[in-house]
Amino acid sequence: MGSDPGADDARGGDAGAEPAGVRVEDLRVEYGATTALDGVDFRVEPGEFFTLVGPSGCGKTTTLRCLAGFEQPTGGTVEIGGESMAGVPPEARGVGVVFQSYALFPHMTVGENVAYGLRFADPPGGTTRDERVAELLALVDLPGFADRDPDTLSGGQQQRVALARALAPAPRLLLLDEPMSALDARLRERLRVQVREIQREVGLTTVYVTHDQEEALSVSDRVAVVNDGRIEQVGAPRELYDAPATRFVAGFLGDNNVLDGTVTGHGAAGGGSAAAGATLADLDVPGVRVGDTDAHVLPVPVEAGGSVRPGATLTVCVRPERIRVRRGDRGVGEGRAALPATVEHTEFLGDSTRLRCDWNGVAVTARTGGERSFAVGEGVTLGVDPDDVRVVEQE
Amino acid sequence: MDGPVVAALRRRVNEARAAASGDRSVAAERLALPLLALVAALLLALLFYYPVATVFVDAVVEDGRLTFGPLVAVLTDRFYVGRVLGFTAYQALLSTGLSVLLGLPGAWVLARFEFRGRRTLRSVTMVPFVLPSVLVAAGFYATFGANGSLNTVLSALGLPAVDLLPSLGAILVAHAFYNAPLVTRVVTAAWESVDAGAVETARSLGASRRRAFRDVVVPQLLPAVLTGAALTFVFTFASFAIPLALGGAQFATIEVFIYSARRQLEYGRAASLAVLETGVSLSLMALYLRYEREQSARRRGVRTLVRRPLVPDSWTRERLVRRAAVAGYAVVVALVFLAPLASMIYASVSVEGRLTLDAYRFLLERQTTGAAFQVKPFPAVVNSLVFAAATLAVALPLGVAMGVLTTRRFRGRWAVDALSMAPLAVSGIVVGLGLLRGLVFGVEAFGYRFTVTGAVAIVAAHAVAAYPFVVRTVAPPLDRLDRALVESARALGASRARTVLDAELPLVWPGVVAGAAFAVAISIGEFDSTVILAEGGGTYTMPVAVERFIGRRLGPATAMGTVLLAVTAAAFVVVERVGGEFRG
Repeated sequence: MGSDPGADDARGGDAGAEPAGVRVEDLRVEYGATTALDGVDFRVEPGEFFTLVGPSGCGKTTTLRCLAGFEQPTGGTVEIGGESMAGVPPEARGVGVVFQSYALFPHMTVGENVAYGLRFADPPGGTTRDERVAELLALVDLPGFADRDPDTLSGGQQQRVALARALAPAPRLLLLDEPMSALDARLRERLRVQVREIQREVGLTTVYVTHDQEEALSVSDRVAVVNDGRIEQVGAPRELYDAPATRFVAGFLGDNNVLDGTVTGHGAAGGGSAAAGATLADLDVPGVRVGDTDAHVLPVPVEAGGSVRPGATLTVCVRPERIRVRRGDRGVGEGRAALPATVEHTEFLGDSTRLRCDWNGVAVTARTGGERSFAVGEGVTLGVDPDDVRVVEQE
Repeated sequence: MDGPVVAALRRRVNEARAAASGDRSVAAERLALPLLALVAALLLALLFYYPVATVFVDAVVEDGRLTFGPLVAVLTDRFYVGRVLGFTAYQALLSTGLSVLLGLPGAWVLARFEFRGRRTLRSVTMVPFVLPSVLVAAGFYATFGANGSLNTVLSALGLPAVDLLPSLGAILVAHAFYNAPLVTRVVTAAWESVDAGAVETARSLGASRRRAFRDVVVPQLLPAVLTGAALTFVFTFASFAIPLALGGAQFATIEVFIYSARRQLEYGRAASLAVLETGVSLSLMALYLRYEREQSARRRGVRTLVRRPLVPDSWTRERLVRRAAVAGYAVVVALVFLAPLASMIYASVSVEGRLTLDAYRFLLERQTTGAAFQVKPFPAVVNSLVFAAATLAVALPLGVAMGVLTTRRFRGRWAVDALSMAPLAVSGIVVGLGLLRGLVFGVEAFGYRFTVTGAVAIVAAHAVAAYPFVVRTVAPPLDRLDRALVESARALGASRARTVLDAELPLVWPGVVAGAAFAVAISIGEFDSTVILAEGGGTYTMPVAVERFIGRRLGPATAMGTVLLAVTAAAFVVVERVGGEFRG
């Protein structure tokens, strides 16, 4: 028994390594004429829970596979724990991987699955192999499952076994590739909390890939939004949510109203509550029929004396939950722009109601508390605080 | 629980619906499936179970008394139990080993490399299975016989000629010709269902490439290898035409002894040997089915291992070694699979290196001037085609019906499965013998004597041999059909039987067409039961004609073989084409 001294034991006895940081620079992957990764850069701090989120085919899984060593980049560098991974085979990287398909070895019991990595590295902390398996199964809340067949387990249980298996040799980096996608929503929620708790407990650097923006926001220390082979924005979940840097990020993370318009002037609409050093520009949103007064103009906070001049084209966004909805033409409060609109569609969501409104020809989504109900066709006034309007792109 | 209540409610609703529509045909349609099952069962009983049972009766009944005499005589005869059964098992074991050896690299190439024509090659592995066994025998004579192409090549190189026929080696290679592709197919399928994620996980956990292969891939391939080996053993254990043609008296298997006992009209002995053989075959098949059921866990949504290009962008030493292995394997494949067929065609148009149509001229002369007892080519072709058409008419509906039934979920389905697949494990010789004893010689019932002609019996035997292939091509796609499709059709008002006709069959039509093509090819190539039933009559077919010439005249044998090959291929293509057009 024990690990072979030869090539099989590439990782040596150095099990239980410290969590490693990750540095990815200008990572490129091309398959013939198609480009899967078009220069990806990011860093992951030791012990951090870092998430790559994006639509399917955006390159997030390819990035993960480059970290694991399953994919050979055509350009750029990958460093784990400060060492370049160029030419390092997967078995020598000290990385744990969990796949969406669980990928449990069907011909082994649960215990044998978890123990597999211990054939090549001694269990950390001087424990025996059996102790380590029991310890890991307890960690993922499956004590006593060692002798079961993977086939007899539910999807959630199989995924926890896969996690235990990846953690058993104490990797210095954990890679999770859409690990929850095959599970139902409620189980997913429970499991992601569990994964996060285990990750904190073990203090393990984790790179997590998901297409589910809610999942990304809820579990991560930091998130990278990937689109079309590139990273659009990296930041803490709240930062990405509150200050999306690109139109894609604004539209991808959470519910949002993304509007394009042309700056027509300064300070005509709404009050003067803009933060210090900022001023308000009037954004003329095309498609809004010009009626009386300033009902087709949205106030946008811009840097005082900055580059935004009349005639500039801006893309802005407003979160639906930041929009105040009032019946008829009732006041929406000091400092808010009042947009006259008609309710076109309502969705009762339990804790809130989502209203799709028509603001003189442009669709605007707003959310109100669940206790108030609006009728389809009802005239309302949408109150928008200029501070809640974010400029995401400027031409 | 609420099961019976719900069922009763559902019945009430259905009855109400039927009554409301005022349509009696709805009720008739609901009976369609059970009726279908009944008809299929009766057909199988008549064509297969009853005849085979009469063989078994022959083995235990003497002069109308139950004595077990013939069976005991065979079972206590050291020659039969030791020498014949022993040799039959021995050659089957060796054949199995050779087939696995030849088949495994094929699975490696098909599962792990990407190249043009890979899919075609994968489908072509099905072809040897439907090639008539006598055709392969003729091909082997043309290649390895005294005047075969091997000796032609050897003499051209100034080497001494070799005489490889009859020999055990020839039998083994011919068996590998049939069964190595089978091994390749099942192992390729298993290899393709290995989750790439599992291999990658093993790598990330510290396993080298070789180690991950050993720990993760090999254990998942083993069941498939065992499956291929078990089926090969059963098939080669009951092989008849190959040992008869390539082995001669020296290497006779139990089947050959059954056949010669039947020729000497010793039915008791033939039947006893048949019982012995069928007992072994069925036990093996049952063991195998039990094993397969344990292995039946099906995996979906796995990511298949990425295939490497056969011609890589850049060459490393390891890549070179692997490609060299592929090339070496390709040479062996060409020798085993292509050389016999090519040699056969070449031998039919040449004499001592000179191109000539003498062999075909001989066949024409035989047609016009041959004596009554001699085999003539033209009736053989006509008989083969007529039997094939009749076989199609019986085997296709039977196979489709069994396919539909075996994909339904009901209690006792395993029994239907087993009973419908049993003909695969019972040799053609035994079926032929049973049909001969049971139906051709006649049955006394209700004061009448029922007899059928040899031709009808031959069609029955062919249908029994062919329909499992229809089941095999129809059932898997039926099983894979989205149940929601069936449920949608039913919700839209179609009865269960209408759903089969309107939704399921059109969707699995390619499988039906493939099954039909196989049925035709099997019928045209069937030899074992045909030779039993055609003995002395005018109902011989092309394979029987080929066998009559083999070992006597190489030219006519290969010419007749070439005709057989051409007709089989043409019939196969025609059925596929017509079937495709019919679907629209």
